[in-house]
Amino acid sequence: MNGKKMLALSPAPHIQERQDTASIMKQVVIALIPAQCWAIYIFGFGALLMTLESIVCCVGFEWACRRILKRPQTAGDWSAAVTGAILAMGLPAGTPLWMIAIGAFAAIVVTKQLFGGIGQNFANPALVGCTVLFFSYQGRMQTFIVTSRMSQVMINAAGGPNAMLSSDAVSGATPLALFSNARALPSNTEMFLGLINGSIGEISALALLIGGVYLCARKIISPVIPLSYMAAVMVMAAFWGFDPVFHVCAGGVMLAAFFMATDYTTSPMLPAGKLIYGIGCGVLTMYFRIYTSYPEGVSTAMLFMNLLTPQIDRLTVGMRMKRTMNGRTAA
Amino acid sequence: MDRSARKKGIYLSNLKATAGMSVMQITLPSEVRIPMTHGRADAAVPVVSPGEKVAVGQLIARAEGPLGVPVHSSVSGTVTGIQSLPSKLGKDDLHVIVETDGRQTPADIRPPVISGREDLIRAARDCGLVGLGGAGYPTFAKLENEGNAFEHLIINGVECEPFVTSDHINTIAYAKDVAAGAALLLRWLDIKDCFIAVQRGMEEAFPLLEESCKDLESIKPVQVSRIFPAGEETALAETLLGVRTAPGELLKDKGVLVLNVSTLIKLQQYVVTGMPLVSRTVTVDGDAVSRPMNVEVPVGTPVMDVLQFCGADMESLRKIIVGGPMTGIALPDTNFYVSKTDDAFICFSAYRAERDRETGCINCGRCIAACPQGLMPNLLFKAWRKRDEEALEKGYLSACTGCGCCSFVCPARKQISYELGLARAMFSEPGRAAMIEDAEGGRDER
Repeated sequence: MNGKKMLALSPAPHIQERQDTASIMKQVVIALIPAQCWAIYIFGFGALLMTLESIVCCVGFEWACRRILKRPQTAGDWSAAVTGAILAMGLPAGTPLWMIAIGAFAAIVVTKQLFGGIGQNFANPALVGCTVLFFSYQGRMQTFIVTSRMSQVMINAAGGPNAMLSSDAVSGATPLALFSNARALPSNTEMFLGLINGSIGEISALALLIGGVYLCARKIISPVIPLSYMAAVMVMAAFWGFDPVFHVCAGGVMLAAFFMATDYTTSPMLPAGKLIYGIGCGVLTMYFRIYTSYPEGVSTAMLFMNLLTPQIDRLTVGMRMKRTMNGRTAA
Repeated sequence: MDRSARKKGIYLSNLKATAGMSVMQITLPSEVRIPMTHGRADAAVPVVSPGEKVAVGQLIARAEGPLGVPVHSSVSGTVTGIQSLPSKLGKDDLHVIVETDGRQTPADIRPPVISGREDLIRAARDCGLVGLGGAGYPTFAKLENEGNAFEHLIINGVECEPFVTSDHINTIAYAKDVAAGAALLLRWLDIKDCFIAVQRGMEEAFPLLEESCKDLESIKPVQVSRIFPAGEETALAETLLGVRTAPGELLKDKGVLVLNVSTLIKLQQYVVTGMPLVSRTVTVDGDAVSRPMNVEVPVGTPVMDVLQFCGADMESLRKIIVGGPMTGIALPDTNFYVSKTDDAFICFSAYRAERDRETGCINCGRCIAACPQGLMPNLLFKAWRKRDEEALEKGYLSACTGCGCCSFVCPARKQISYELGLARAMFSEPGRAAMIEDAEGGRDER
């Protein structure tokens, strides 16, 4: 009898769901592939290069931070890769590597690691990265290159086909900029498919929707935030008398709704909180679009709601505990 | 029925490979070492001495203490010693060692005469019965209920743990005894109604129960969701009766008696034959077992014999779990002996035995969605790590049943359920937390 054999001792449960942090993060990267493919179709392989550069920068900063701070290494958990991919998605085509590196630094080092790493950041790192770049390099970040694959409206807005022939890169305007200047807008079909200008990952609502549905189907994200976000944007647009479909497809709404607002760490934990958060994001996005001089409202709205998340949690957790206690008092 | 009650928990792969097989009788071991402590019963006191001949069902240890139950010999043979050996829970426990003679001669047993509530309770005690579903609370004490009356009876045949099928197999084999046993309890404990609950999806047992209960109006077989932990007794009471308990309150305080189905079968069989609890059905399964099966095992059989009988691969074996994989305990080695409460031995190879290293909480909320009690496991966990007693109390820690759902789903591989168990142990005594804080503070100062 071999009674001396050493066995593994651990507390129950002795089985676990296969999904871990890394596999969840991988799914998010996979869900970004349709948007990435569309970016390559519209902007060429430079768009893929930008994403790869951004991922390498983010993972590199993550690795270096953990090493310098002498903390367990987390560069392999794919969370920095997700940040890198989303960061690139939020930047205009042709953003140079050095700018991407600054964005990655703001995202990973300042927003994430200095606050304790994964799960500790107060705001979405990719969002902060994008925002820092947009406010630091306003000129470059407002330069959206027009390509021949975009719709006629976009090409005309950049000076027509002749302008496109005269030089390699012609800068155009995003639909939201056209909207602020009360110019002719692309059709809703063009908006939905993504034959428009903007940051490389935000242009095609369809591609983002495919990725978002994939994430919901795999139960990586709950549909509450994206749906309430989009619904709030549409209702607010209609309320102010604008085209709801245009506003939900324009700018970063779809990218933010599925990929940024659903970030676990910076969004509320409970379904009721997620609803409040999604509606808040939508209402604020429309408010900033209409009442501020800056045409895009998504990033400001989301940063605002990120900061409100702990308060939303406090409110909804209290409500939930009350429900849990309900009918169970010993009396 | 409350629909929301059935949604609470998680869906697990059932992995009940042994559900369709009949029970095998284990080869009689050459020696059994019968523990004196079973489940939550107080330790019995041996009444035999080395050299004495014993028969199957003969009393070898008398009940002692308020929760004591007697222990009977599971084999016929000669007592060769009484020795203190480690028990599965880590404490030392007296074991009566009996060398078997291979004849399995039954002792001179007589069925008990039952003509009242007291007789039934005495019978439950005399046959040495403890809860066979794993918790092991002495059955007689459960029936006694400090003299208070019960209103509802639930026979629990819901094995919501993966792998384990011993209750299921027994329900199929002894469906008539289940019905008769339930009728017996209803009659003598003066209970109005009874549910016999089995898991939906384990289809075989339900029609058999319906057939055997068709003439018994007050006994109703029901199927419950196969969500985990639907078979946990407070979950069952909530699903079937809508009864909810407050922290610290027990189901018996609400007039609900929940009895495991195998326990009921053994009680009924004792009432008919007079043979006390000397053997039990054990599910042996897991990826390190080549012949998974349910096996009928005499109490005191070495765990090693059971594993070898089922073809456990001792080379690849890395973990033995007593009970189901969600709530069972892992054994440090194989030098243990089957007790009355061992419903399963799940054997895992290295592939299944290891849990990944813990990483940072990403606030995904999976534990919140999984918690059958409606708690916030992530917040409780953080409060426990900070030893924040107030936050633990406000977060309703005492309602945690330790079911393990939160740990199961956690993508950061945190042992939430286990650590909350520690927290409950530490904060259950008033003033204990302050003591710990002082001790920890003292250490910091140095």
